[in-house]
Amino acid sequence: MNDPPPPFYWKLGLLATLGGFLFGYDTSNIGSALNFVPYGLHGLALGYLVSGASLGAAAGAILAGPIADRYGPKWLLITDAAIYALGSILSSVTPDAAVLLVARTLIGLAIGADSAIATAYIAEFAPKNRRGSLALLQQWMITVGILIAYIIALIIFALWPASAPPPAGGWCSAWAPFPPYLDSGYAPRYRNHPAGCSSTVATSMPALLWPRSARATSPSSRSAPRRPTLTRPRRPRRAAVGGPGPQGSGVR
Amino acid sequence: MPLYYGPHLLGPIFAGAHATLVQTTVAGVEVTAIMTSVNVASTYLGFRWIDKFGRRKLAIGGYLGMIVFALVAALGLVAVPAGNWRLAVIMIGLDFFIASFAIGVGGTGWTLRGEVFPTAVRGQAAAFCAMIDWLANFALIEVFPITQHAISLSGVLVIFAGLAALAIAFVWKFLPETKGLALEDIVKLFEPRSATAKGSSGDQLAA
Repeated sequence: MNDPPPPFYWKLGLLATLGGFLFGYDTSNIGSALNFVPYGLHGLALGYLVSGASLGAAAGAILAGPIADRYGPKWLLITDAAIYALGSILSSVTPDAAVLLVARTLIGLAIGADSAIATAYIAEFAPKNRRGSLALLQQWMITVGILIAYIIALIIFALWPASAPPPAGGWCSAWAPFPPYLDSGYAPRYRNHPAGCSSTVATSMPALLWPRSARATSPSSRSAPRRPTLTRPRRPRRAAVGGPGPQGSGVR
Repeated sequence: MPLYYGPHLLGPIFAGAHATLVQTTVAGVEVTAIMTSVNVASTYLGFRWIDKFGRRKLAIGGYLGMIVFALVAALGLVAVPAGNWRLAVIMIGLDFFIASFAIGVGGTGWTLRGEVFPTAVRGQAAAFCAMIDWLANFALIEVFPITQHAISLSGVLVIFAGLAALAIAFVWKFLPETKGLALEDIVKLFEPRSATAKGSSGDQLAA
């Protein structure tokens, strides 16, 4: 069918693009910063530094389903953006290694939940003939995110080679006071600085654009009947206390 | 794995002998940026080719490529004397390794997950698979520094080649071709081959 895609389709497309991109970007941006993290991590700790975001993503994906069903996806996306912002800022100003590892995990939680929501909503609400393309777009954007992480690293190294670890100054003027402070060598600088600002904006976009009602143009005929919770119009916190809603667990 | 540890690992190999830390890292990042570009392009190709060649050919071909090029990279690391040839061999090995992965199963793994499960459980099953994927990813990356310390990067690459060989065996034996089939037919493929009629059509399709 050649109907023009409904407006909601573009928001789904944006969700697919951003969800995938942020996942790729945030799991790989640590790669360029490894040499400059001043904690001398080795072995399992070093491994966790790189993989913590992936573990957080796995956890975030599992948790996202029930939470989205209970409180609504929009709330969850906003919370994700907040968690992501916290993780990014935290990873830039860590006083010790443990905080950095926690920050990476937080970032992972946020992007994992975003990815899960994006995947679920594409599967549920995309018009049947576009669903495959959106899913592929999300996957492909992950690879693009990984690439952009390294391109940004190259740009930062090219523009501020004198100050290693990578400088905080740059895109976000809010960070401008930081370079002199960090120059003192007290706190480690980190890739996430300029990226944290722009990525926080990017992560917030799906939340802000999310429609009030989760009801899409037409219910997809392939959606499993056991997940009607996602098609229910969003409303404020449900009166039901504890336990899953009347439609069952609605688990991802 | 190379996409995450790239700059850290490859920087020293590709930078000059007296490079500063920044220069070494930049060299590593450049090499990794090339690999990630290859990844982007190859993932796109994988999605384009999945219906042209089918899942089995693509997956098996991809894993074969991974075996060959992981070994090429490992050879480059241990057998080729330092110099431009060594860098070239390592680059070719790693880049085609990534390309083979991305074309074979990188993107298309997700397509398979969407296809092979019955509609009623597809959401949950696909999510479960994604979780396993990420956990395996996590485990692999988590132990990499220790493993690399023990058996060096070339050893790790040889292990990857071995894992790819196992994957080929699995795909060969267990994965029916799902190209061009309607979703309901795909589900039938996985049901026990008790009925003779179902069994024969399934055998034809598992080319």
